[in-house]
Amino acid sequence: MSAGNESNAAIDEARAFRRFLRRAARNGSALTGGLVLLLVLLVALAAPLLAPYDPYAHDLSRRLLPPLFYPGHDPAHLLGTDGFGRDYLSRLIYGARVSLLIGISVMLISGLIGTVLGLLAGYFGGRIDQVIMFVINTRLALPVFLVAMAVVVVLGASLWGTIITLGLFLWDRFAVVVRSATQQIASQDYVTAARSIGCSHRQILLGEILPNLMNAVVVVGTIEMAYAILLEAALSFLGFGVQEPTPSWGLMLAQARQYLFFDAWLLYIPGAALFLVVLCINLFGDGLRDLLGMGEDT
Amino acid sequence: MTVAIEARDLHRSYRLSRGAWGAGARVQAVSGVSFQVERGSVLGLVGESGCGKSTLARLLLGLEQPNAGQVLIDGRPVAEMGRLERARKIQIVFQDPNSSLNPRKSVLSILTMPLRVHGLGSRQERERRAAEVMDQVGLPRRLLQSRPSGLSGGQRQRVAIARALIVRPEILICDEPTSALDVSVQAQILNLLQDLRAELGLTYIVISHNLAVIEHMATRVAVMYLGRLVEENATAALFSSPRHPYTAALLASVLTPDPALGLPETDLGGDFPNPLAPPEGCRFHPRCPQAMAACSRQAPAPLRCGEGLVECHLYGGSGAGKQESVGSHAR
Repeated sequence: MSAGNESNAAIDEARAFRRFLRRAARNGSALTGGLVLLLVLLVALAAPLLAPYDPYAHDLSRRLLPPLFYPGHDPAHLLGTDGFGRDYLSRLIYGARVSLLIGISVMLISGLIGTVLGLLAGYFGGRIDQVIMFVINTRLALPVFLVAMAVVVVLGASLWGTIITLGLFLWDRFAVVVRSATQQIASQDYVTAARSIGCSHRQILLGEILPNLMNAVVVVGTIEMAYAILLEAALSFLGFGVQEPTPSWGLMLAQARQYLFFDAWLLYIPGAALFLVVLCINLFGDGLRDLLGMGEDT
Repeated sequence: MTVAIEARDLHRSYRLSRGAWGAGARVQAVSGVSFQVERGSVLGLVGESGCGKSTLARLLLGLEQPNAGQVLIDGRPVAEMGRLERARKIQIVFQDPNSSLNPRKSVLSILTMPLRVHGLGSRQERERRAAEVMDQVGLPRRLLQSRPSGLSGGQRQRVAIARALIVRPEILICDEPTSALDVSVQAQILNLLQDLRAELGLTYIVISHNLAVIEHMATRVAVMYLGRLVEENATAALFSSPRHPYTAALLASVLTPDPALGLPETDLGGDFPNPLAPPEGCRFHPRCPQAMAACSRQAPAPLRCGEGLVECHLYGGSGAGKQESVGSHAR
């Protein structure tokens, strides 16, 4: 095509993107959630630069120092230290890595499984749909904690074990949402047109249907990411997830339990971090759903 | 004249699903449809909603396989053709251009997709060809970069026509090509289709319930009722002297522009019969104003009648009350 058209297309794209940004700026929840998440992500990535201490370094002479808003705190340890004298701020910063790593990897693994199953079930229907629905129902009948326990017993507890267990578990919502969205899209005339043009099923699924599903998948992805982070914290709290001494927010909560009455901040600092991240992911997902407008064109 | 596309005794039924273990009932969407369309002519297909027109279109496109019978294009069974070969013979334009264009793609990408799938040409050649069809359907080339949401209904329908024509098919099925468009645009699209047919030597099958569209476009008309063709004839003959009572009722039901005339009386009464349990004998007899005793017992056979075919006991000798020879009806 001529250079003029290329630049037209570029201008159109740029204009559409600016319009999207303007709408994003007006959408408070997407903006707040997105910015805080971005901040947490940067902190997690730059953890070795930001953390004042080694999160694994014990210092038993400086156990249970209170954080800066308590009397008698040590200015060298802004959020105090835990029961082994490890710097709490450093552990919190490194804990963000674990939470985000788990949230993102679980979202990717379960998103891939769920999207593929949902696409196949929704597009082909019939027998394939029945079999996949049976698999989804089977999955819904499995209690996640019992399976996680079984995995720990068989394979031992580890970070990657937790990620894989959760990744193989949280795809059901992706599958159900993608299946029904696919059914709806597959009944559109442009899919029939693609078939009559001679497209293979693969070309239709990847070229015509999947791009129209991405909005829904992204929104479900944010929900599952928040859920995965919470589940990891719960599993680690119960001892089936990430193991000592890896700094995980759930593990920090578990260890703080014994100090609940006298050093409650050990509990509520990681609790607040968890709450903030999950809230922001949900806000972001909510705002994204409005922005992507489910049917509204940008 | 050669035959471009032929349907031979097509049957297609669907099983209604009653869950995973239920035995579904069967609904007969198309039962025994045969016709031939000559190269360069236009077959108009009319009938009420639910009579099997769209199923017939899907069978002709090869998107679904008939339970019995076959479709032949240029004398070759469609079932034996590959996906791509078939696509280069026959294409379709849908009713609703809002749903027939992928909202995520630009017009250029929509138009070049068939060429990519068929592995035709380099990127530049594909884009040149896209610009060429844009000219053919009367759209400015600058719209190639737009998305369907930026186009009007008429423009979208032109894009849909361009997409169907880009692989240079011989036959085009137009499934209600104008019913989703504004009245002011309908005529433009119909004229465009007429011009393209003359220019490219296309064969059309136009499906519509709008008789004015059919009269304007078609060289021959087939009337469909509950999965069967009940009458088929040259357009002028069919419109001036309909033979089947159903055709007559359809023609009588057309609204006139004069409001003083009120709603037309059709004598059809009743509703469209349940396709799950089509009536015994002639499928039309419960609604037919001229039904006879034989109609409820025996299904009429297709009868050659002058230039056309009709499927009605009024014109057959077999046991019907009104004994008339076939010849006396041909005008």
